[in-house]
Amino acid sequence: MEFVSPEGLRIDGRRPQELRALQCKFGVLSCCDGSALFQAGNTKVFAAVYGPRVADIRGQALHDRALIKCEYAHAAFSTGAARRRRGRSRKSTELAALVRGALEQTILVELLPRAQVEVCIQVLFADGGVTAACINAAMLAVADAGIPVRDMVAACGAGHLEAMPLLDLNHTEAATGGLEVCVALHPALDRVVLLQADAKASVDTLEAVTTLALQGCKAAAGAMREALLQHVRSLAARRGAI
Amino acid sequence: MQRDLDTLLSNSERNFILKALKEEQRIDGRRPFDYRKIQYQFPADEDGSATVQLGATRVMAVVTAALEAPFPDRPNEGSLRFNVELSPMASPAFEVGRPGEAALEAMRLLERALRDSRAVDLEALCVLVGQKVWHVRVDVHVLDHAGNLADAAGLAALAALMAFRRPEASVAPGGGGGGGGERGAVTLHAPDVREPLPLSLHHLPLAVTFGLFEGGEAVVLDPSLKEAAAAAGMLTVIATTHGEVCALHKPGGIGISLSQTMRLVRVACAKAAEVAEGLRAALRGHETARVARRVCRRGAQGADAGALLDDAAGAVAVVPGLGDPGRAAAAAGGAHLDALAGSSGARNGSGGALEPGGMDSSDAEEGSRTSARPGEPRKLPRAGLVAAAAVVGGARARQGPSSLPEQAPGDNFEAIAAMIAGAAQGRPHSGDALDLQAAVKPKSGKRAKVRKWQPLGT
Amino acid sequence: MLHSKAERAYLQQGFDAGLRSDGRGCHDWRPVEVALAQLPQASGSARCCVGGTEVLVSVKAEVRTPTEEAPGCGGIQLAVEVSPCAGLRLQGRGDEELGAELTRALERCLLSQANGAGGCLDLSALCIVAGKSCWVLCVDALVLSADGCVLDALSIAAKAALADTRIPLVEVTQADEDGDAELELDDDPTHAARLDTARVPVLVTVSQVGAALAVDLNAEEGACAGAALEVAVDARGRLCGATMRAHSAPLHPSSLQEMLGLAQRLGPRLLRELDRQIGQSAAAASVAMQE
Repeated sequence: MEFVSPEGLRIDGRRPQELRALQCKFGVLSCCDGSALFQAGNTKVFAAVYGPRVADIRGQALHDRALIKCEYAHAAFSTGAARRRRGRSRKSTELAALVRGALEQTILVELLPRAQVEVCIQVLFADGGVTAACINAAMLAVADAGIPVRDMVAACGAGHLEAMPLLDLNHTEAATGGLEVCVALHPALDRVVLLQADAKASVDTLEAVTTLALQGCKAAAGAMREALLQHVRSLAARRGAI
Repeated sequence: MQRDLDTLLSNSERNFILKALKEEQRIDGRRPFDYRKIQYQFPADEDGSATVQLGATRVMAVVTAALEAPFPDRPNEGSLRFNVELSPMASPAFEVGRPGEAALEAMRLLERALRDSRAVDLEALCVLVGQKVWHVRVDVHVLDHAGNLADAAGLAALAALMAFRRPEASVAPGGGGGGGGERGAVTLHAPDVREPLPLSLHHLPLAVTFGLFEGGEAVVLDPSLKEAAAAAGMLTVIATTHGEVCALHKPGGIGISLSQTMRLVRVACAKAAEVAEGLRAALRGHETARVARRVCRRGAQGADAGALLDDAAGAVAVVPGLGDPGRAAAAAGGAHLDALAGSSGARNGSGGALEPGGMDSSDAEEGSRTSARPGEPRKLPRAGLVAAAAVVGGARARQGPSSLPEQAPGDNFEAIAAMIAGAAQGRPHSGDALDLQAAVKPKSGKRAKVRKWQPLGT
Repeated sequence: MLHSKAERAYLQQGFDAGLRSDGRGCHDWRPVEVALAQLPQASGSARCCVGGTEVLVSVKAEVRTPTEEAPGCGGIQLAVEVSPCAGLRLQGRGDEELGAELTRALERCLLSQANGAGGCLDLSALCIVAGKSCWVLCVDALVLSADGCVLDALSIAAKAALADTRIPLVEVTQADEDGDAELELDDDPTHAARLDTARVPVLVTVSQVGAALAVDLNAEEGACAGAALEVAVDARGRLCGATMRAHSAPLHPSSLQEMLGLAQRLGPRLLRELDRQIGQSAAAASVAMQE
């Protein structure tokens, strides 16, 4: 199968170093303290934040910082293919742990001792780049909930197909089993918070792909920031502040 | 009680660790990029089990395989599963019952390192497409947790997979090729009848974990439990011996810059090659010991000598062939006797220095003239073949060694016996036999086994 | 959700006076919004919002072999999942248990029996080659946000998703005596069979709060409700089924009649509103398709 046409276009019509269309929505769910929808192409992820509030289980509360909890689920119809097995698989536990790890570095946990912040993630449709989309959705929901953060965290994936680094792989491209990297970045601090790479590759390839993913992170961060500012402006307008 | 104190680090301890690290010192006296001492143990009576000790961290891995129907979506592939047990025996922080997040993380890391990177050739585990494939399961038990579980678990799982031997299975003709309605019957050959086969590994992925301190500026390799408690983040790189990266795992922790990450990845690649070298050496020792045991067992049952020697050559040639094709080819020539010699040496506990490649072609011809060694002449080309197969990376290093000599089984029996007895007694056959003699110091208790052959040889 | 006694008493007295905290009457629904074709990968899908409750239903049609008991019928498989986002404060297995409970309740509404026989959908229309192949509709529902009245919203969304479902036309070629028939799917979305959902009922949950009967309780009101009855009603007001909700308070037979009557009166009203929205959404979709 050809993943990059001679004209330099990928199977979904993008250039090799092009992100899919990003879409961010806030306040999509009513019963939580903050929620967001993050969409990259067809990949669609909901995130809801509950808290900060008193820890559910007293024994788990931490005396010097907030406890971050993360729950992950994907819908039965989230993949186009045959029905997936239900319940919590190892991969979903891993994903929840990854998102939690990224958020622990992002949220100013030391400002909220003994509190708990719970982040719930629901994948509606998985078309590649799910880990990155989950982190981005969680970040937006945290922002919507008004929880203080050190810096925005933005994640993006990249891969290596046909000897070419490709940004933001979709499902078809990722299914080839080539190298895929997911990076989460604090754009203002310029720090890599999370780095996941799979499949075998030489160090140089890895570096090239990771650098590309970092550029993707910065682009995604810009889009998320813009969406967030617009949301805040509309909120202010609704309250008559502007 | 003590362990609780370990995981909960006092501020002064933390400060001490950080301060020492600024002077590139670590609390256990290592330099920042030193591993703790790595030791391997392979149980004598079991293939596919390994215990790895990394400092005080001790992890055991056991590989088992079952011949069952494949998964419907992958009819021509076997499967590889990992299970990690963190029992309270290893650390009071672990709880009995369902695997917790730490265990799941370790499991996923093993899956990514060994399965998702396609280190193990799963297609070679297929016996009959759509009917019978090998399902391999790796159980990793953490016996003692003193930091850096990821590396120890990865190393133990890899060592166990490399030491693992599965019984050879053959399919009765008519099932696969003909396309007729009749299905081929699968027969499993007992290890006594046909030599069990090793798994075919494409590369050796090794986990290398770094502890990150001070905003990612200070880094230690292989963090101990206390260092891990003081660290602000962890980075695990899964690298192969060829400087390739199979997976990166940085679960949260402080952010670090990309250039620092890449520097660590390069360090990890170099360290992985070092560790792999130690692992290969340990496996070679295990392999020779195994072959030696089989010499006794097989000799007693009167198996043919050619097959036996072939096995010795094949088994040794496959292991170095995994990572280092050139050496495999070079070693194959002399590997067979090397193995035998080494084995008797190891068995007797002397482990004496052996000159490798004690047998060259002129020796072989000389040997062929003596009627006491009937298997010898055909051994060399066979060994070469084995080496070639190992270079290609094929799973089936040896093709059916059973059909060998024209002589009556009794003759072979005596031939083997004569050879081993000769070695034990120090009766010189040729140059390599002298080496054997040098290697064998008959003083340990196991000497009785060797002596048993004496009357047969004389 | 935790409520003080005073809060409960306030809500209860409001119901007795026919007033609710958001200004509705006892027999009013919150605004019901239905949107079709929400998921591009599904054969049919719908999202339904009732106040703060939001559910999403996807229908996927798959070709399978029919069961031996009903060789001339297709099938329906139902599953309801509760998203961790739904805020039901139920951790771990809690979500799964609730999902199973909702699945059973929805099954009772849509299918009178486990295999769908005697239900509201004509399953024989899903047959392709009798005894060989048929369509099976996989109905997957997801509760995204739960603020009371989840089951009603699920049934509305399920009906809308079934109405939205397009089943590709199938051409059967060379159906030999014993050789397997070859199926050729027409993948043109404009040429597709639709399901007849006219007889599909909706569920109306009627609850007793104090002495009053009310529908569409939000999460707060649900906390102070007594007995609750889930009634399946079709467009003509006929009863298709009634179940007492699990963990419901006991019920007096005389109020049972009253509750059923209320559901029979309110159900068709809800269905008319639903049909209107489905028609609107379908018209908008066809306009979009033409453009």
